[in-house]
Formats: sequence, structure tokens, C-alpha cells
Amino acid sequence: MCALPLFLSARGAEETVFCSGCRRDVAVVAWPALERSPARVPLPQAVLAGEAACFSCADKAATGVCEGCGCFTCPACEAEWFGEKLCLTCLHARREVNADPRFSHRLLLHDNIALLLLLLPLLVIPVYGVFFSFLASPFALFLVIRHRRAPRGLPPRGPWRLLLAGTLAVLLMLGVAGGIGTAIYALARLDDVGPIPEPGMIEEFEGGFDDVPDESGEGGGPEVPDASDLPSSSPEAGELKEEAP
Amino acid sequence: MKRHFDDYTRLARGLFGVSSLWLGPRDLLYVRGSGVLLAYAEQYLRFELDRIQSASVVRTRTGMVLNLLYGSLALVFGGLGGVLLWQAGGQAGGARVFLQILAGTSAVVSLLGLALLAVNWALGPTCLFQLQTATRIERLRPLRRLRPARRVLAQLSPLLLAAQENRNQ
Repeated sequence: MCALPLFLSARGAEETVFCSGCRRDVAVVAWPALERSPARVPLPQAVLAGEAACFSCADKAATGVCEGCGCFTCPACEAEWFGEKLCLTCLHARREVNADPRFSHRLLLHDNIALLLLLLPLLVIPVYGVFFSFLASPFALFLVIRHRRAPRGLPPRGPWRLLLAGTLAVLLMLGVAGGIGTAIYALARLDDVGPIPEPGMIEEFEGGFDDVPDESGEGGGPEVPDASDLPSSSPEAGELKEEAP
Repeated sequence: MKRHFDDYTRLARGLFGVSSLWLGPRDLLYVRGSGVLLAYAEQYLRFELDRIQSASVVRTRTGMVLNLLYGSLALVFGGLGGVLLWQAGGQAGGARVFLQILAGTSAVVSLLGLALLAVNWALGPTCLFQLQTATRIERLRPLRRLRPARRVLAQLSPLLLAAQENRNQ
């Protein structure tokens, strides 16, 4: 919206006013807090002899006690959070160090990150995305294991995302590793079988495998005529004789 | 996602539950998620009930634009599918099968457009919901539709009034 001031007459009731900036009707409800002036924090006073001084500002008079650690605080070093009066050190410790969910203001959702790592490549690149998901699966599994006990948001969310991400990562790794293993095994078997026969070689076996000579040398294959059996006039005999040592 | 936790009750949730709004005994908790389908991070903004100054709702044209977009998608691809099917009738062999496949794909896209149009229509008009305190004006993303925004406003109004009158006393 345009941030132009709107003039309202009622408090706590809905009012529709026309905004001349947006040129639209705006339904507004204003509450008494709109008219209340913001609470003013009193300025810290200089400490006098015999008075308690602020723990952080030694020259300022203490006006309160931290409910977390019990140290004296001046108005500038005191913060109120959900009814508790805390010094700034305790506030920082609760928000950042201890990550108290009541004090947390930002949280990384590791279960969702793990799930996104696995699913996003599949959604962006439908088939080949599996490869990228496989590459991401160790990271996803690491996130699942590393942050399995981390808080999953202020409004509680079930563990199903974490379980799904872990299962998917393991299945992807096993599936792709299995696929690679099968491919290597198939290649190895192909080497055992020997070279792929050429078309000419296949024609020689057209008569069937029964023609292949066995160990005793009997049977099998079309008989190759001996050079001496051929008539001397035949051209084949001449060629054979020439080749003989 | 749960509807209650501790003393909080869910008032509204955004698309895919990325962002949500919760009402507590003393404050309004706005969970602002970052991300599209799944939130990878959440930010928690609390508004104390006795410090909320005003709330405003403005109807926006986004819903109408989306309706036009989805409607045209359904219409264009539906028409394209019809033409392709009609053309396929005069063809034979591979060309006929190819045109039929194209017509089928167009029909699927058209149906998707129709489904999105129906969902958008059912959700109602869109709006902008803003909450004002002494220090900030925050747009609440879970309240993007006019109907839930009005419902939440009607629910919040007496609670805020009571909380602020108690503080004044």
C-alpha cells in the first residue's frame, strides 16, 4: 500500500475508507494502541556514593535486577521478554547460544533442506535429475543424521520429512550403486564370452553347433579336402600345393 | 501441520504451509517461511496483542489476473487440441498418431489450466493484509485471500480490543 495516512473515526470496529494514493477501498480496524504514545524508557542516572551500580555500565545507577543471572541493571541494559526482565547478556544467551525456542527468531529447517536436495533436481530435470539427486544424497543423509535431534521449528512438525529424506537418500544411493554394480558385472561377463562374432563367422555355423568338432576330432563341420585327394588339374589343388612348405 | 501447539492456535496458513499465523494468549506469532514448495528457513515474528495498532485489508487484482491466465491457458490449449484432433482425421499412418499425441498433450495442459482456474475461483479474491505496530508495518503472507483475511480480522478485533482496554485500566 502507499503509506498515505488514513483518517479513521472508530476504534475496534471495521471501517472502509478510500485511499487517494492507491485509489482503492481499504478496510481498516484501528485499536486504542494507535493513540497511545510509545512507552518511554527512563534515561540511566549517574551512580552516587553508596548506591548499587549497573553491572555493565559502572557509572550508572542500577534500577533493576536481571531475572536470569541476578546482576544489577540500569534501564539501558535491561530488556523485557515475555514478562521476564533480563540483562542483555542473558537475552543473547537465550536467543543465540541456548536457542530457546521461546526466544528463537530464525531457524534453518534441516529436514526440509535434505528433502529439497533430493527432490528439487527431480522436479527441475525430470529424468536426468536422478543423477543430481544421487550426487546430493550423501549430503542429504549427512544432514538427516547430523540434525536428527535439532528443533524442527517453533510450531511442531512431525519427523516424517526427516524419515522420508533419509529413506530416499539411502534408496537412491543403493539404487544407483546397484545399477553401477550390475553394469560392471555385465561388462565383465561380456569379456568372458569373448569378442562379438562377425557376420562371416556366423554364416560358417549356419549348419548348427552339432557340426563343431568334439575333443576326439570326430564329426562336425564340413570336411576340408586334403590337397593330395584333389585332382592335379583343379586350380584349388595348385594353390594348396604352392602354399605347402 | 498441527492446528494447536502449547497455547497457540493456528489462524491461517499460506500456500503449502510455508508461512502461518498463530494466536497465543499474549501475542500473535507470524511464522514467515522462506522457500517455494518447502520452507528451508523460518523466521518468527511476534506481535504483542496490546501493541498492535491497526490492521488493514485491501482487495487486489492478483486473483482476477490469475483467473484470466489460467482461463486463457485452458482455452488456448483446448482449442489447439481440438484443431489437432480435427487435422488428425484427415491424415493416415504415422502423421495421424503424431497429431493425436499432440492433441492429447494439449488436452492435458488444458485440463491443468481448468483445474487451476477452478481452485483459484474456489479460493476467492486476493487481498493484502497488513498489521501495524509502533515500529513496523508487516504484510502477512498467509492471509492472501479475502475470505480468510476477513475471518481473521473479525476474530482478532474483539481480542485486541479487550487486551488493550485491560492495559489502559
